[in-house]
Amino acid sequence: MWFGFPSARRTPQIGTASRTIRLHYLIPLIAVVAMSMCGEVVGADEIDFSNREALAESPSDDGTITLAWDKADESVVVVVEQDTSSEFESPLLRYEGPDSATVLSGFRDGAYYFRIRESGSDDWSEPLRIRVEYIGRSRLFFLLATGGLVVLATAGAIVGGYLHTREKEGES
Amino acid sequence: MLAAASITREVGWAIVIVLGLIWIGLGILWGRKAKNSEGFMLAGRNVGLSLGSATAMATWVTSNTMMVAPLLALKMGIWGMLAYASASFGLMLFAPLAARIKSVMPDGFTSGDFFRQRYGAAGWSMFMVITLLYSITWLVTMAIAGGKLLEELGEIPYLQGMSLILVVCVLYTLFGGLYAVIGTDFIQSLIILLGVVAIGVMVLFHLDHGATYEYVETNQPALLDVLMPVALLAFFNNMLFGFGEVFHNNVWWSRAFAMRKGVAPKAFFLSGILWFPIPIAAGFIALAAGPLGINVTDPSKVGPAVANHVLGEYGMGMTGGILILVVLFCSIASSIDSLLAATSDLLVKDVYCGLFKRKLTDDTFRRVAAVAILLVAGIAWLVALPGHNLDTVLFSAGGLVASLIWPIIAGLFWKRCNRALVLIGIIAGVITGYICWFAVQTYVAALAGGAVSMLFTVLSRFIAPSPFPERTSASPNVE
Repeated sequence: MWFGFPSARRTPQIGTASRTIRLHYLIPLIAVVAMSMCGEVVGADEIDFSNREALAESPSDDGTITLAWDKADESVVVVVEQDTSSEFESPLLRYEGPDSATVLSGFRDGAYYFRIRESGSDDWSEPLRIRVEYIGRSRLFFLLATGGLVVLATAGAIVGGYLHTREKEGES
Repeated sequence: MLAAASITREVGWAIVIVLGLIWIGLGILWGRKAKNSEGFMLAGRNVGLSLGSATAMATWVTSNTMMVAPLLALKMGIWGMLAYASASFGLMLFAPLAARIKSVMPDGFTSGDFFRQRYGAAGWSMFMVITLLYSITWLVTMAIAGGKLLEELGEIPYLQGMSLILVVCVLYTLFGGLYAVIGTDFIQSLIILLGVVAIGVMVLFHLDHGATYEYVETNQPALLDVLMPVALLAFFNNMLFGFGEVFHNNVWWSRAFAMRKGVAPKAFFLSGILWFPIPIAAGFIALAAGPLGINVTDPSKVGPAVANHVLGEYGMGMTGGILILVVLFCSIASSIDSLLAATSDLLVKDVYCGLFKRKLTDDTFRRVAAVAILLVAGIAWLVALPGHNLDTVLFSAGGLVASLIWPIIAGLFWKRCNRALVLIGIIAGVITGYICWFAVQTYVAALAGGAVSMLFTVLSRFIAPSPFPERTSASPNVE
């Protein structure tokens, strides 16, 4: 199901939520530069999602989830799994490697659980629950109808205007 | 890291510098044709169909086409590619507008001229703020893309790569003006077309299509949904974004003015058709990221990362990296130079001559134009420093440009309207666009802004309309 929820507000991003990035862009240029200098909080010894709080609080409104984690050593290989239940009865391997983040796309509406561990270890992190909530159906259809109307009206006005003025110019 | 760098830092620097020197050399060569300000700004108003189509297409193939189209495909699947490709309709619909522009303003220089004549000082001020803000935004996205590209392919630090690309483009635009921009665009468009086709075909043949479908079905099921909400919104939003961008920006108006009589409509329509498949080909490769086992850490880089990986699989190694860098550098340069030239024209003609009432001779013109180009590039460099996500930056400007669609149409085709209401509509559209972008969804700003502005403009035709003022000289202060 891709509908049935109130509209979502933002997409989780690495470290900073997209709303923050948008605010950066709305304020003067100097502030944009200054904000960019704010660093991320480096994680502790255990491997966990560094953007856990932001992801848990803010549903994704475009079906894309960005998971990030901190590691003590760059060579550490991590394993990330996904499931639709917190019990991880049928987990899906989403990433295994030395990177510090992964961008996952194409999720449908719903709740998804993720966990992470160091490769070779049995200690999984606490499950992270992330919701995917696309824009509400009624609002979606309203926006689509509006978009269709504006596009058609624009094309019509241009073609109509062009034909009309060409005719007039031809007469004169 | 998305994938191992396929070229060394030294090779990356060398490619950009060698290409830059070629463009600068051509800029100097072609710049000699510019005998006066009209030659520098509008290439003598003598551009034919082949150069005209190529420059329009190359300018519209920006770094955003090569890097945001794959990003949209990664997030939205096939709809994402189509959403980006829908921007080609902006070029096609500009064809009749260009015919009208040439008819209404045969001696015109900038889109600012048009707005000043149709909507007076208040409308002109509003237009200038919007178009300069948008042009800087567009320039910033390309500088960011250039920096990220060099970082991805050659492990050149972002700041160095971004600065290098901007400096090279500034240099050859300074030397040649629109002659250099259009000439280099022609060569760059050929490289882009051949490169995109070659890379796209290699990815197509490299992929196991059955396995790709299975991967997407298991891991990215929403990408197969015909009614993926965000993708449908992006389709209309991007189309209106394209309309707004092309209809208002001086990049396109200067090309319309530069083309010979009767050429502009054909050139823009043809360039729209030629451009349409490019984002589809560029976006398609992003779908291969998951099936090929490429971990995406920055969606902005997914296009070059997958291309790099596939060419590496073909045993092309460094050659593949060089090919990708050349193609993408051409796409970035072909747009940065156009934007620099067109935006500096606006600053010189509309601000320096128009607002400050300064007279320019052909001797002093180049010096002022050079300062304007450096100023625009400097601002873009500053804003690009943080290296934000490309789509976040780009689509923030949706409400700005879409709010100008209907005022442009009214100004070109209508005899009368309530100009105050049109201007209120622009402000309302911009505000609505930003509110929707922030509070509703990234991909609705242009849609909402365009709709609100359209409503006000249509009403302006019926509520206390008055005739547009008579046209005056388009270039009062350039001798």
